Formats: sequence, structure tokens, C-alpha cells
Amino acid sequence: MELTVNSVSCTVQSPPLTSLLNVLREELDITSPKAGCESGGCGACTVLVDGQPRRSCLTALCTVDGAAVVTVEGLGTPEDLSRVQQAFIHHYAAQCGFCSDGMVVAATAYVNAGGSDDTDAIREALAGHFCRCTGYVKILEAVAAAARGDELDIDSTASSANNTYVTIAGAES
Amino acid sequence: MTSTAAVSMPSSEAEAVAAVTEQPFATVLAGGTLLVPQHTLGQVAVERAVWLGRAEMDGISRSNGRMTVGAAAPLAACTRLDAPVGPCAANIGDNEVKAQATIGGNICSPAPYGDLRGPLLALGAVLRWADPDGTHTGGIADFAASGGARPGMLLLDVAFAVPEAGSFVALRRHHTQSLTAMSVSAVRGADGAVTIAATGAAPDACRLHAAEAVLAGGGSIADAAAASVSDADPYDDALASAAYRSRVLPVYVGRALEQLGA
Repeated sequence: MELTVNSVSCTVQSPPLTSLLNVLREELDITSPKAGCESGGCGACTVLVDGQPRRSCLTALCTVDGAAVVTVEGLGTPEDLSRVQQAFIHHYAAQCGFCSDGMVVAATAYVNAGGSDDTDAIREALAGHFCRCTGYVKILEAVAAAARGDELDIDSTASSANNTYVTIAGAES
Repeated sequence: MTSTAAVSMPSSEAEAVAAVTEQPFATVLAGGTLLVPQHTLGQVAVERAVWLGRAEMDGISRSNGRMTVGAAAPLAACTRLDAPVGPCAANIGDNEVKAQATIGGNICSPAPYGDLRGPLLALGAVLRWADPDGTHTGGIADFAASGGARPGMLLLDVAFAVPEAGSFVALRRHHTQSLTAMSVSAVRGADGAVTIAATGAAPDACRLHAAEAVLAGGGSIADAAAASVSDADPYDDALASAAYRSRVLPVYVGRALEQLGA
């Protein structure tokens, strides 16, 4: 089977019913898609398949033969992060980080499709994604900022009228 | 755990029927939302699979007042259909699951999956399926009586008359991952007759004939709702108790009928 993963052409040897998640993690050593529930319910394994968000744990390899797959590794580089990645940093939208890869991928699809900063629309787009840290407020703010095209400074954390943000560097008001 | 099962990829319905019905029987792979994780976790053994993604069985068409939906049509496409099918499809899974899961897979999945059997029962939908004995047509109940989802059987499509009006109400899900504990679908046909079906009121989707009879006799929505429990066979499971199902069913029948404008 042939896949283009993060713009790199790959010939994969896994059996055809292998989940795309296991192909990425076990054969191609791409570990941003997380094996969370492995039954389609948590969203942590979400990747883009031909531009559309897909649960890689529900997707058999044979059904994506020839497709273009994008994971977080293909969205940006540490020196040139994607807009959604920058928004997640600026708005401190990651806590433990386990859900972040799936959230970022799904949010990228939402923003690329012209999604608005409407909170209900973002909730709908990310409805299949669990954050066990319950950091949903920051995630919604980050996706809204990316959708609006806000100026994003990843060296500072967004302030909020209602909260005191505690960053790795310390408390900010 | 993943087997090295071979997967064939038919490019037409005829090829798919031939591939599924020949011995040894193959496992049908449509959207894969149930099969793939079960296979990954070693819960099902697959020796040979047939993937429907290229078999051109995902069409949705309307002709002479009837809708025909191919078994491989994704739920995301079904959400655009009128009530009760559209809202029911929208109430299954999340966006990514709806983009992948198919109407045929949903119909063939055991309760508490199979949400669409309720709306399709209310619509009097006709299923078309193939097995080694040929191609068959029948309602949801006929399909179940024939053995339902089984090795060597391929569901081809489902057709129903476009109703004058339809409604769908369901117990709220806590999260898109959650299953729906109970739903009620109601349909008013071209002749004005109202048909009602529920999921979660009995171990499988069921028609609520007594409630329909009350309405046909000129009774009120409240009387029809009260009568609905006589067709129920409430049961306990992880989603809801039998007692809760008994209490909730008439409430949701009433809401479905009010939404229908019965």
C-alpha cells in the first residue's frame, strides 16, 4: 500500500486491515496520533486524510491506499508553527497534551474550511474530542483566535478578563 | 492484534455481491467504525474481507416520491435527509464518525447501535439485500427474520416513500461518544396516517401500534402517548433501567407527535 504521510511518499507493509493509527505509530514511527480509547470515542488519534479529519483508529489501511495523510508533525516545524499551533501556545490550550494532537488536527481542518470564531460552531467541530484535563475553555479560545486570524505571540500567554493564567514561567494577570 | 486477512475491493454492486456471497464467506467492511477497532483488539477474526468503498453503493436518490439510499452512504450524507432519518443520523457519533460510518452498517449493527432502524421502521422502509440464494426485499422486520446481519449477506440499499411530515426525538446524549438510550420517530404519510416507532423501548426497534390506533381513532396526543407503553418491552442495560424506559417512553412519544403536528 502507498501513502503520502506529511508530504513524504511511503510504501507500507502492514496488513490491509491494520488501523491507520497502528501503521503510523508502529510502522512509520509517527507518534503524534495517540492510542487513547482505540474505539473512535476520544479523538486523540485524529489525522487528516486528503484534508478531512479522520479517526485513524477506525480507519483500515486498505481504505486509504494512495491517500495523503497529515499528522501534527506535518503541520509546522518548531521554527515555523502553523497558525493553530501558535494559537494553542498563545492561549495555553494544552495541559497534559495527550488530546492536543487530535485537537490541533481537527481545529486545523475547521479553520482551513473557513470556520468562524463562533463558540457553538467550534464546539460542534470538536465535539468528538475529549480533554481529560477539562481544558476546554482555553482550547475554544485558541481555535477562535486561529479562526479570526488574530496576531499570535507565542512568547507570551494570552490574558483574560476573568482568569489568572498560570504559565510554566509563573503567574500572569 | 491484526490478521493478515486479504481484502477485496469490488468496483460495482454486482462485484460486491459476488465477493460477499462466495464461499468461504467474507466479512463486509463498509465505514469500519465498529469492525476496525474490534479487529485491532482481537475481538473478531477476519479471514477475508470485502471493502465497499469503491463499489458505488453510496448513492442517495429521489424518484417518484421515493428515496433510495445505498447501503454504503455515509451518515454525514444521511443527515441531509428529512426527518426522521436526517435528525437521527445527526444524533449518531461525532462529525468524524458520521463521515465514515454508513447507513448499512448502522442497520446491521446490534442494539444499542442501529439507531436508524427506528426511523426506517416508522417509514415502512424496504430493504434490499443479497445472499447466496439471490436478492431479496423486505421491511426491517423481514430482514431481521431472514437472519439480519450474517456471513454471506450483503445489504444493498434501503428505500422509503417521502413522508408528508416526520419527526424525531431522542434522549439527550452526554457526549457524542454516548449511545442513545431511547428515541421515537413519527411519520405522517400521504394518506394522513401516522406511524410511530421507537428504539430503546424494547430490545430492538419496535412499532407503537397502540398509539397509532389511538390517533387513527381521533384520540389525543396524550392518549396516544399513554397507550404507547403497551407495545414496549422495557429492559435494563447500562444506558437505562426498564423502569426509566417505561416512564420516559410516553413523554417522548408525546413530544414526537407534537413535533409532527399530529
